[in-house]
Amino acid sequence: MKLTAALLVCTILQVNARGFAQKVSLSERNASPEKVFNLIEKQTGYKFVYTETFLQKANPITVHLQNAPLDQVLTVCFSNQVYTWSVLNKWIVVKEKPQPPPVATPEPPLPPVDVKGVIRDEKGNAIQGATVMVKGGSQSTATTLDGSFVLKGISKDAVLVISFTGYRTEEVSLHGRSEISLSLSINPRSLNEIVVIGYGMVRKRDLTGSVSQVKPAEVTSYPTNNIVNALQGRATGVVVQQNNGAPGGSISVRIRGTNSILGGNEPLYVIDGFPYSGNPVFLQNGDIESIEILKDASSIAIYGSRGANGVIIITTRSGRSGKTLVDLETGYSVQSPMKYIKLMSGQQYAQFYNEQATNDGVAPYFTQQQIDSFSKGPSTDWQRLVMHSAPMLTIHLTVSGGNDKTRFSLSAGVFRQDGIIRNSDYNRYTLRGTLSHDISKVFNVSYNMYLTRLDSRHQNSGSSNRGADLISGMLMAPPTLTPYLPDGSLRRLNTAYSFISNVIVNPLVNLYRVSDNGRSDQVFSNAALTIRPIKDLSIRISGGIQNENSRSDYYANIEPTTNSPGSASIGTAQTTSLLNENVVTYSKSFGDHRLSVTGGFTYQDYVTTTLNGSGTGFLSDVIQTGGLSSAATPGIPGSSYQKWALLSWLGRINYSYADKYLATVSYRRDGSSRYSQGDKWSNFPSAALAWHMSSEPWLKSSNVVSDLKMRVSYGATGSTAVNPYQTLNQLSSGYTIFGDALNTTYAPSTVLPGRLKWETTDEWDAGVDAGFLNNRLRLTADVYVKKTKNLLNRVTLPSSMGYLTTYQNVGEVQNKGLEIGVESDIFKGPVKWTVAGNISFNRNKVVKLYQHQDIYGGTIYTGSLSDFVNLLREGQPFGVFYGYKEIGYTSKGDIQYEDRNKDGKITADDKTYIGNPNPRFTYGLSSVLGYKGFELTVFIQGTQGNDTYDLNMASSLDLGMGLNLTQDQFNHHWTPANTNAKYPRVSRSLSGNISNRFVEDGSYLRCRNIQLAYNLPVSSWRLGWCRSLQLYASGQNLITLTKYSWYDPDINTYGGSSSYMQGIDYYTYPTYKSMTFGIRCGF
Amino acid sequence: MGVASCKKTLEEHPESIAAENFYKKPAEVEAGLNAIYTPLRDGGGLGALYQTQLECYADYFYGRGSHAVLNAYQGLDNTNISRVSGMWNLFYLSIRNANIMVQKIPLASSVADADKARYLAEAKFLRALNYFYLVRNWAGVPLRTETNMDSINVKRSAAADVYALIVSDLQFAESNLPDAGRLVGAPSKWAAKTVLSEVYLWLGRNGDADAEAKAVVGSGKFSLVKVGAVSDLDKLYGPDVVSSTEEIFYLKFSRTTPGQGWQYPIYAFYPNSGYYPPGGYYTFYSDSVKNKVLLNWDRRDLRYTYNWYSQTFGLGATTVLNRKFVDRQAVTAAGNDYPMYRYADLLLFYAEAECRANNGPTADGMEKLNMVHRRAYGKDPGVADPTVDFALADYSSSDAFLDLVQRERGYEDCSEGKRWLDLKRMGIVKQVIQNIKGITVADKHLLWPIPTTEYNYNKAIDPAKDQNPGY
Repeated sequence: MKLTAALLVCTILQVNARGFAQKVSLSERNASPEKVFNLIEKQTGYKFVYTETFLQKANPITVHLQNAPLDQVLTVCFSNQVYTWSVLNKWIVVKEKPQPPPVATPEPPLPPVDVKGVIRDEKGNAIQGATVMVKGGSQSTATTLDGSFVLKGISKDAVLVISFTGYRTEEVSLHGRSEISLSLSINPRSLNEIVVIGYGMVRKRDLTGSVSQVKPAEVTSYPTNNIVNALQGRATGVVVQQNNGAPGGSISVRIRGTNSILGGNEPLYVIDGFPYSGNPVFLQNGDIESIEILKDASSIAIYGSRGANGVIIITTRSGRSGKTLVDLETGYSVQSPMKYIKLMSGQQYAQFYNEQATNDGVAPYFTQQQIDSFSKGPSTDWQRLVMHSAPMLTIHLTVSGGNDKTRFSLSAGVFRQDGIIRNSDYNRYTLRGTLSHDISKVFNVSYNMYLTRLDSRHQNSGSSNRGADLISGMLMAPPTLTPYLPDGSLRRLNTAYSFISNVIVNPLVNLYRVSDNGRSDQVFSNAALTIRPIKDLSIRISGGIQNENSRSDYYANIEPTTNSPGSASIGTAQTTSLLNENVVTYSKSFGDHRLSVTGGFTYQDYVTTTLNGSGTGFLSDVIQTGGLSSAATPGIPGSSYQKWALLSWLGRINYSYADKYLATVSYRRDGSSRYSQGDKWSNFPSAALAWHMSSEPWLKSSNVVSDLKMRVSYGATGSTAVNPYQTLNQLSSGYTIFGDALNTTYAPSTVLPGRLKWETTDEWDAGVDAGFLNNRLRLTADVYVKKTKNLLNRVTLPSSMGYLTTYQNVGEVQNKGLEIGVESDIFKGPVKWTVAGNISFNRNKVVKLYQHQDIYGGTIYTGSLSDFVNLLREGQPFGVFYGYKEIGYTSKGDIQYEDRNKDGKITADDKTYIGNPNPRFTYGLSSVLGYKGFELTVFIQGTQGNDTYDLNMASSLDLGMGLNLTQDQFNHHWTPANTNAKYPRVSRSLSGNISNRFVEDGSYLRCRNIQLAYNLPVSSWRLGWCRSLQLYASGQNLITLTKYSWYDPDINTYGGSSSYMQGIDYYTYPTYKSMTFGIRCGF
Repeated sequence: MGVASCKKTLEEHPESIAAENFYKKPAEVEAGLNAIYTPLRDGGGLGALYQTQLECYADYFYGRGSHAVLNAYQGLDNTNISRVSGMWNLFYLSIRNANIMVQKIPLASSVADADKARYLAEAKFLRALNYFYLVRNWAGVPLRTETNMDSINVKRSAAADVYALIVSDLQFAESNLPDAGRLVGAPSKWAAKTVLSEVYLWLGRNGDADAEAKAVVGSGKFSLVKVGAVSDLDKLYGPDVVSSTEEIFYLKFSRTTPGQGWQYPIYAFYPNSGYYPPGGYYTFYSDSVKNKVLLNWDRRDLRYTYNWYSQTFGLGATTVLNRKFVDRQAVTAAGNDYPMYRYADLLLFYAEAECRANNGPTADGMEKLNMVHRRAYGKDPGVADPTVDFALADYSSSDAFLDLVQRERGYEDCSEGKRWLDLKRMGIVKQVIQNIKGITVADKHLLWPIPTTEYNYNKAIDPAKDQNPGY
């Protein structure tokens, strides 16, 4: 048996093995110690325990003995080693030979005592074979069958270190006690991991499904405003994309591709067992114990109707008995824009629009004198007026500990991020506590509570056109104009020139004269009673509350340049979700059979109410949103109510035989309030088989393959794609005016209600988990095919019906893919180097739509273009770009489009596929290199083969609006002398279309994080109060390799849970790069 | 947990109204009727874009920006096609809401039969009005009534069939609507007759048009608002007018409730002009010298000064913008109402119908035209005034008189979104545009294309056969 350094950080009391009767025969020359130990293990039944360091330092063994006693054999084997050995029960523990005692004067010894105790696991079962040693001393022992131990004659104030494979190592100060009792908690970070799955945990080696794990160190390695952001590139099959770069900006997560057209495609987040509705923005990275991503149907089917998009299980830190630990992590970052777009200077702008005037036969807008003066003075750099370098601060403090009955963890966290756009920020403050108490051997209660305050100032990236919003205003405002007038007031841009856009707004108006603040208070709390009436049975009854109260305050100042009379609006939302789960688990081993049965019943509901009010026309900006009633024109208040409920039965059987053959069968039956009568209930079965080939005798002795498991699974999962009440014939109310008075109206909406049922995803998965060369190289690979049927389709109706759309369960989408994750410990020893990589391929196809009807992505209006970009069509990948193909320029320099149907006209029939937003593959690569106290971490992540629709460039065809454009366009547009140009001629009568012009390669490779850390050798300082201290400096997003021309390809302006407008970049809050400095320490 | 309680847990109880239990009581029926107006008043339709679109077509206006192609008279580009598709949707949404009411009112258990008749008449009036907008701009369209409103595929009806429904609905409305509308802004029987008289003019049923118009004049319910100075025209068009003696059928707006104002004026004004605080897109403009309509417009006519103000923005010193619908106190949108049918319109319908029905102008017709004309010069409409009146002798031929009517209507209804359809109805659109702007109007410009959102999903319409020419 090979154990890792986690177990043997220590020296172990030497126990003489003389007198043991086993006889050993060996004849080896210059054999590796591993081989020799293997032979001894087979002949004696004893197991060796050694560190990896030993293997590096050990010398080859030559031994020729027949029927010799074990102790003699060992003596020979260790004769030329710097190591020695001892025997504990049936273990042969290898340890370094004692060094000569240090020259330092020994402290006067305290009177020694005898200490005895019992070591148990989390469930209260005795642990046999746990090592108990005296910290800094030489005595140690191992626990017996009943978990008890005795250490004789040790110092009264000694610290005991207790360790056991797969469990956290604990330290206990005696403080004069002579009896201790301790529960070890499972350490999910150890190599022999325990994996959290739906409604339970399994050993990683017993896993039958496809589950990725993300380690807490990866989640906290660099600051992110959402823990989900930290998953990007970390796990196979998981694609995380930010929709924009705003602090607290939303993100899209896709696990194994996009399943649903209308329903959400975001995974289900299960936090400490609570299926959470929405994205868990309330969590602090430092509170995370582990993140498991369930991907195949056998793992997620236990979540039934909510599992189809994958499940991300987040476990937060809990306390453990033993010494009270204090962990502090803090970091300070400086963020700056990843890049600035090279826009025309004032002089270029004037020349460019004069060229337009000449081409369009009107008088030049600028005189030569003006142009000359622009060349002298600096141009206004609107990007730098809007963006700046901004700080980000994280502080996280955890105190945890406990005794044999009670364990606790308390933490406080602060995350403060200022945006790279001025006046935007995102602040999160959390307080958290967990408590677990054993009432008796039978009863345990646990409670955890998360309080979060989110506070954010938004700068809208409104994606409007022609400079009307902040981002497009920043990019399009003429560089020839100053932002302020000489009297200090803001300049009005839309009348600044005769030829300028009538909607352009000075970006500083949006920046400084409009406030858009959001705040929310979130409570997330769970309590559970666990009953173990008999040894193998556990009953868990739990209840949870998810509550969120949020409020947004918007105020636009009184501002003459936008004719704003002052307008305020307040929106509030109150959300409460209640959960009750009752789960029974029975585990039993008999002989080679191991069986675990889980069954349960759960109820969850979710209620949202909203209330909002507004007012326009204020006498003073002082009021902000503090007095809606003082508005000249108060708005009509609005409110809404929505509720859904979900009832479920669930069951699972895990069975294994001889640790070789594993089988899992699970079943869930869900009833949802959202669906039509008669279609409310549905069943979600799954099954999986796994074969531990490395446990077979014929592979057991292999020197190359140290671990090998084959898995195959099938299951069905669902998605509650519809919103509540969508199947009901509801009337919506409104107002209209008669005379001068408001009158109520009632009419159906433009969506015709239909009879609806579940979307169902069937998934096959086959995978292999393998370890080579003593698991120095670890590999996991999976192939899968997913088919989602009964897809809810938005069926477009002829607009003359008055109803525009209805919904029907008719679509079908298929995803298939391959995922490979590899991890290798390249060097162990003084230089440690671990490299991990993952790559995921997903192919996505729309199989069936209602009457083969295409579904168009939403229409985007850029001022000069108005059309959709994404298309759903049978046989094509999801959201493929659809538009016109350019074939060069006319003799006048206008864009020519391909007349694909040769009817002599350019019509919508000439559109074709011009790009695909789905990546061919995504990947992540991380490397951790350690030497002495130094640690260099590099994390690279990227996507390959996806197209991005750069709609920012739509303005390059919108030439009659006086918009500032790129220098590239200034240099490379069509002129009679330059007909082979990138951009067409400069004319306001240019007509453009959604075409392949805007399709760019969105592939990128990004060095997401590079970190140099130094672990100070605090243990050698013998401070006592300080366990560890790490200083680090890191850089995020410092290097991005991409051909993409705009700010950043990792943007998805219209992304979101159910959006099928994918891969479009249109005036979006830019992303940042940052440098971070920080400290991580433990006391 | 029992099966029954599970069932109950999963029942949905939205805090909103289900269609099945509604439209029983008068207040509920009225709320349903009110919903017919909402799409009409939408900014994508008669709330702004419809008039903007049609005024860019007018002889006295030019479109700017994305509306510039409209006064090239060569049909619509993609942006404008999607704009008119939006209008199609709104007209049909209003028709759907009307059809629901036509279907539900007879079933309303707590409504008296007499009230059912007038409610039904209001729904049919509005349905007819929507079809009238559709048929004039698209010609034949799918005819959806309470009987086939749920069918997906409905063929494109001939224009004549659409008119037949319009006439029958309006006839029902004129006989069942009350003397005064249910509310200010709801139709009276006189509104039905006024619309009917214009419909008859479109159908060439001039005698019927004449009779309807005559009935309205004879009712004595309406009179022209008297005007002494330019600013008095605010009593007709101003944002503070709740109603006037001239109002036959207006779409009502209010500036004091967000979302309930009229958005059309923002397309007319220049930012910071002082006429309209929310700003301005100056989408349509004119030129007091280069445009012949304006050049020939008598400057003593109070309407000229009321309508036009000088505003340069790089297109020359004589550029003018329209300020008919001024609202100096507007916060987000205007309080002015859309005067869809004014008494002045009716008087000019009457003048035209008289002439057409009698194959020559009548004295009464000329008097009605002069009433409108006199008022525009600040005179009492009821008192003949030789200094401004037209003499019948000078316009004795039908052509001369109809040309006079057409010109007068142009001045009177400037910026009201009516000009283009008048020219089309009178069959002089190509001639007038050629004359004023020197542009030959393409045939395809006379009708709007049936939207793709219609024929892509309505399998009874074949775009190859049923689309309007040129699209």
